[in-house]
Amino acid sequence: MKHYFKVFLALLNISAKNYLEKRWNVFGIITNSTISLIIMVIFVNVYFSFSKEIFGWTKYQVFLLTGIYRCVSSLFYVLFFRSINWIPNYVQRGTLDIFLTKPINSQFYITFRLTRIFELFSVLTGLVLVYYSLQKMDIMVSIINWSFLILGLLAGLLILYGIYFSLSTLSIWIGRFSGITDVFYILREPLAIPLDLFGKTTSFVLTFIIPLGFIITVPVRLFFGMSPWYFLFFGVFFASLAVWFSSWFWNFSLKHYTSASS
Amino acid sequence: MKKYWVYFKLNFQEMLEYRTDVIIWTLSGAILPLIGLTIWLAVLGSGAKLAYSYPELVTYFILAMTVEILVGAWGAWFISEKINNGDFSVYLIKPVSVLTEYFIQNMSEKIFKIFVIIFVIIGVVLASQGKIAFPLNILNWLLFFTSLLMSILIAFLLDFILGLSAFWFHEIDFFKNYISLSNQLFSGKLIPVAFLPATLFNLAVFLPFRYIISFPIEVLLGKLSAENVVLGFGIQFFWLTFFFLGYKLTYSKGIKLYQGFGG
Amino acid sequence: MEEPIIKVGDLKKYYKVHQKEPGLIGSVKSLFSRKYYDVKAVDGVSFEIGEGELVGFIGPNGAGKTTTLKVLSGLLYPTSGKVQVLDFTPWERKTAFQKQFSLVMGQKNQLWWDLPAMESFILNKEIYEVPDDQYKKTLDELVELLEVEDILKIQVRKLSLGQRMKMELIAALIHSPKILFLDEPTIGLDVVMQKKMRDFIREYNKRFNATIILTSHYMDDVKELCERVIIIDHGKILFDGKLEAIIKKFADHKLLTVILEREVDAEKFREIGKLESYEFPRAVISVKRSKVSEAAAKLLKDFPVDDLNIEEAQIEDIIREVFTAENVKS
Repeated sequence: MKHYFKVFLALLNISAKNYLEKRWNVFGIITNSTISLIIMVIFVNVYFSFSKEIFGWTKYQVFLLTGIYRCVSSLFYVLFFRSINWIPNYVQRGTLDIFLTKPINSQFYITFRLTRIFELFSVLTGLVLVYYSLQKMDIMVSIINWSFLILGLLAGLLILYGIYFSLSTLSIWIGRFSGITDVFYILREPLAIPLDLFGKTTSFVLTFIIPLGFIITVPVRLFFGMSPWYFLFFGVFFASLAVWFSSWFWNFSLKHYTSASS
Repeated sequence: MKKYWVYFKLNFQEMLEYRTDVIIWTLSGAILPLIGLTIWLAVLGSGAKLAYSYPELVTYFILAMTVEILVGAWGAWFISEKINNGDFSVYLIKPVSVLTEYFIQNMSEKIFKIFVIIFVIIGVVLASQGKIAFPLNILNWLLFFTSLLMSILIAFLLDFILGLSAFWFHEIDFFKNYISLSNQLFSGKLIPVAFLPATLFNLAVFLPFRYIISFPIEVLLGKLSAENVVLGFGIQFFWLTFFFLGYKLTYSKGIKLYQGFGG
Repeated sequence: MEEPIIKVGDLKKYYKVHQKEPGLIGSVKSLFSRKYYDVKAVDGVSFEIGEGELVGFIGPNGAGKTTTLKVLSGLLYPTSGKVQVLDFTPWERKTAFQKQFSLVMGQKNQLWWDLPAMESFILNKEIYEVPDDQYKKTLDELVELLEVEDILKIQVRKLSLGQRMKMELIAALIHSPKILFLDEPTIGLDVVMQKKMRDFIREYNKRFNATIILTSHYMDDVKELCERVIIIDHGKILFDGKLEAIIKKFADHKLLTVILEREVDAEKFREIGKLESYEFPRAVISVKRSKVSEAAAKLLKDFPVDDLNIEEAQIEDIIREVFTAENVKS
């Protein structure tokens, strides 16, 4: 709807201005992302200095995965992280009340309230790594595989959103949730490596029970043709489920919030 | 002495109120070593020759998780906030020093975290079918605890100085990020220092990060020659002194600046 | 009254709170078992409010004022009872309803801290879908009314508390709501700002014919602003009507304040009436309404009086009378 799009733009605008108020922020992002990327490259190099292949993954394949991981997690930071992270804060301070009186869907408003457009720079560093890996691998990748990758990653982004938003919603039930930032850290860190490394059982659990595998690993596997094509549909299924659940749980929790407090 | 006990009890009580958060924080401290373990077992499983065997890797990372929890310090942000919004003045009047207050808070939370990490350790031991290399050398254990004590102090002082830097810099996030990135590379949480390539290894030996997590563990596992143990202790002691003096200097200079501004 | 725009019928709001014993043992105990008890925040409240009215909900802390306000704005849904605001059921939170009211709660601010208030206004404009020309007109009017022209472009965190409150008001009123819910609007403000706030509320009510409901535990808010007062305590309405009516009904005495030329034995005041306070040279005596002229005459005759003043009893005392009277009844 046009209204929601206009509000989205207004929120992007105000968040960006807010971010620029702290002058060092932009400088910080640039240096941080660059150093971070270099360190990840060093890590991968160290792992592969001992073995040419790890559980079926070669060095440049892992580089590509690392780059993709950078892109996706940075994109999550751009769009969702801060907004979701502040939900416990809104609940504790009562600011949630103000949002609930506004003529706009509360989940939408809260989701997009604190975007970080400047983190797109980090996405750029990820893309640089992806490009570099592709050059080094010298392989032909079809348009189909590229589409699988991109669609898979979009689904993955939504899965991450659904899981994190739902977890943050728990703050309505427990009153305070300072650990919410670390919850994201716990979810995100394992995504930097191919989940196959966790061994058969664990990676099954991490793919089909808690669908973390569909965020980065599966889309990249689809890209390399390591996974069968129908895995894309699993990903889309989990993405829809995640977003639907986050919405259902949010509304369910609001019912509790509006009846149990004073 | 009594006031410290009361303070400790209060902190512990308050912490029970946010016990879910404490559990989450413990798990988040364990996540990097767990990922490290996964990666290196996979490298081993792919046929590589490593300086650590399977049981040694499991033991190493279990120890890394534990040491991580034991040395953790998180006061920096709180201190910087108090300095920024003027609440720090309270410490100039109260009879408990800032350092002691944060130290007690730190210790009271750690007691709970130790309970949590024990469960994680049990999980890891079960998952690896009990294949661990439990160190039996008493001397190594003694050296381990000595080194661990210094690690705890170094980590605490470093974090404290970071918080105090708010006297000069409004935002401490910068330095926090750089320290955290250096930590990832040189502390041994993700990559055992022994596996680092030559240049990085040499850096790691002289930077303080190794002496917060990795060094006590290397001593315990008996992976170092006698000379290297002595050298390591020397460097660790150097860093401890360095950060202690650094804390004293930062605090006295910072207080002067703070009072100059009228809080 | 023509058709009232707010109708509340036997509103009840109960909720559960858990108890915790103090001390370390108490904390550990509460991990395993919790005792809950019922709180009757609102216990059978009914009233109607017409368009353009300025109504004050008065009561001590925990009386149920804020809870009632939250139900009216759709933030809470009741345990039982009927509520209609502008023909809507508030807790359904329909967009068409939300565009017509505004809720301002003292300490809960919506302005972006590090940016000038202007930015927050523009954001609200988009959220409430206020057309450009209406936005400009409303903004200019509010800015003029609150005298904040020069501070519009200053970051909110650099403003004083009073200035921030003014900006919060503009942000809340930029969509020209028909109903304004104000929860403790003067809390935390200094005396000067409190007066300015009251003046603004009165002016806004007059100029825009907006219906305003405010809650407060400050008597001065009531005295200065509200013709109609609803006194609420322990979730029940004790009184609903004009302020003068309360005074007439419950205040059976007046206060005589004398300034004395020289010290007088406190006992002697007993002949006049009840001595409320005596700090030389000032004495305050409370006297029954019917006996006021007699008492005043006696004071002037028998006492070394420099100055004499006759006042209504303090509203606070009157309200206290109202509360105790009800408690005695129940």
